[in-house]
Amino acid sequence: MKGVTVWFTGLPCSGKTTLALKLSAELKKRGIHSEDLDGDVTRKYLSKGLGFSKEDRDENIRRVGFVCSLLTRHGAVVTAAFVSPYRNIRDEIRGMIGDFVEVYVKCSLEKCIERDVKGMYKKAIAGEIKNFTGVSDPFEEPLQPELVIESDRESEEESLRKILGKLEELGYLGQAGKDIVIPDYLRQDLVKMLPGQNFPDLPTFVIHILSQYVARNSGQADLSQSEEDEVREKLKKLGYIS
Amino acid sequence: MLAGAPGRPSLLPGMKGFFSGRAARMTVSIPEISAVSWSSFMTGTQPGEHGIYGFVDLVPGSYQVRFPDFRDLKVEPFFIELGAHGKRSVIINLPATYPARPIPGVLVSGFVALELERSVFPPRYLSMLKQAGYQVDVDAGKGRERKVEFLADLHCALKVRKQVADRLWEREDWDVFMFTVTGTDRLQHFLHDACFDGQHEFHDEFRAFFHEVDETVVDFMQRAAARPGMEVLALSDHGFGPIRSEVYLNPVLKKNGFFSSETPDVKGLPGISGRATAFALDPSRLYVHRKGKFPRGAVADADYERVRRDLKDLFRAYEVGGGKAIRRVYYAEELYSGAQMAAAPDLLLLSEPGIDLKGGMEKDRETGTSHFTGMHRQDNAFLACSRPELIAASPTIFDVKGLMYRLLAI
Repeated sequence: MKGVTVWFTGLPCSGKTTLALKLSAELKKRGIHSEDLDGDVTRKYLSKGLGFSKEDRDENIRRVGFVCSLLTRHGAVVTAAFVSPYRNIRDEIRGMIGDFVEVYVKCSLEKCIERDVKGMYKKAIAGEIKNFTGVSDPFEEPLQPELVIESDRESEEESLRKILGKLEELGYLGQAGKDIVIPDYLRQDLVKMLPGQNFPDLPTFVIHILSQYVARNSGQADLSQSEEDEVREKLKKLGYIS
Repeated sequence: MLAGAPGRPSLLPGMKGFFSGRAARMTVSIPEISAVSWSSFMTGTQPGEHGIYGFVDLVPGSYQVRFPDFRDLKVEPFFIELGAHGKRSVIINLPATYPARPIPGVLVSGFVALELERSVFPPRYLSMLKQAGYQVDVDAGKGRERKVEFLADLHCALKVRKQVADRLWEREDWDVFMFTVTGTDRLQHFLHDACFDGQHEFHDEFRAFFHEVDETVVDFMQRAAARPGMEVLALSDHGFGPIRSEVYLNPVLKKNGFFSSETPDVKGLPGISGRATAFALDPSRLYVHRKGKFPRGAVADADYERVRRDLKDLFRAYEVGGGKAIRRVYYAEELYSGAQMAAAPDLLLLSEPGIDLKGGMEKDRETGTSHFTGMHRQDNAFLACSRPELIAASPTIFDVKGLMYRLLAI
């Protein structure tokens, strides 16, 4: 499968991380290798020491973008949820990654403030937090994102369907109805059997099993009339039927 | 053919030398035809289990015939089963494997393959086969009247098949490599009489083709033998012999009161009358026309054994040219057992050498001859192995899979 980075951008508390996690869970259910990158985690391990100046924010996104490019190149579907307020750096990492789907999670400031359980907006408005996007720092809306999610108007399920639909449309996911979810209880047994089989991976093994089933049970097991005629002729020529 | 007829040079001297002359005579399935024999070989089971009783079979509850194929095989062939042991197989031109389906390795289906597109797995090899000019089969129709062309086609098909096999030998990472030669069967059906008759128009061509087969096969064997730990098996799915007379079973049944047609203008099995008690399917299968099993069945359960006995008596005593024609009459359960017994014929005939049995539904006489000069034999197939001590005392084709697994330490 071709890797891709699904980049969620939007105001703080607009619902980026929620949607990214939902997408990731759905991908895992489908047996697709996905990786989640989130601002809280990367700031702890990847960009420790960087602040929230424009330069530091750009550097943070650049580092995250580099990790995304590596994962994407190795076939993962990366879900990345970052405010990433500046258009230039988003465009820069788009170029770096290549297979890049920008999802703009659009949400009114009022709704974001309402969702802000940590009270960050309140502190920013009170001047206790500097350079806070949407309050004291600009958010540059994407000009041509692959997808706009209006998280203050859509349910999470609707938004997820839209994202999956876009990934299918762009060819990063199989078409709807063509992907089969293998329940975990079966998947575990199949994975256990895999080392004894001569198949490189689980999908190939499953395809093999299905093909055997189809071969035995297909309603098209019989030959067509013209094929029957051809077989009859071949057998007659050798005297195998009289 | 490995040893050659007494006093005559072997047709396959290279193979004979390779195995130091230690080939065993092997019996095969009854009927002794490729669809049944190769299905038995690849599954290590008999038709009562694998479900292939002939090139044609009956649609249950009717008089319609159908043509079973690889999809009808009810037991996994060894090359699928070996996947569970982490082993890959390259199988080329194996009959009764059409249409090809996914296997751990490569499969190129053999007779009765129709389209090349559906004869190859994985499909990525299709273009390679097409470019090489691979033919799934030669046109056997030429064997009757265009023999020079027929022989040229056989040589060409063998040559291309070898080229394709050579490439797969090198490209694929395999544990089992199987190359099936079918040209010798085609040749013997039409020109068996040329084999030992030095005056025959095609005597030299006949032997030349066998020598080409010999060189082709020995080349693979020698390469295999050069690989550390590699073992070699060679076998035929049936033997061959000259035809003395063809015997048409349905006319025999008709003459003896077992078979009759509803009306003269409805030909074949669909025209069978409600008074008929038995009929035959190619080549040597007899069916009791039972009530409840067939739409116009005439034989009640209470009479079934009596009809079977009568049929047995008829064919045990049947003679052609003053000689016994049938070596043995079997009830199905003497040969077969298993989950697919419902589709089994009721009796099977094993003919004497030279007596070629056919259903002959539309024939108006009991015996005759035709343009065919060679016929399959059940009792003179061969089996050879690089470890001859592993071959059973009286091997059958049902044993070969087990032998192969022993060689593979499975």
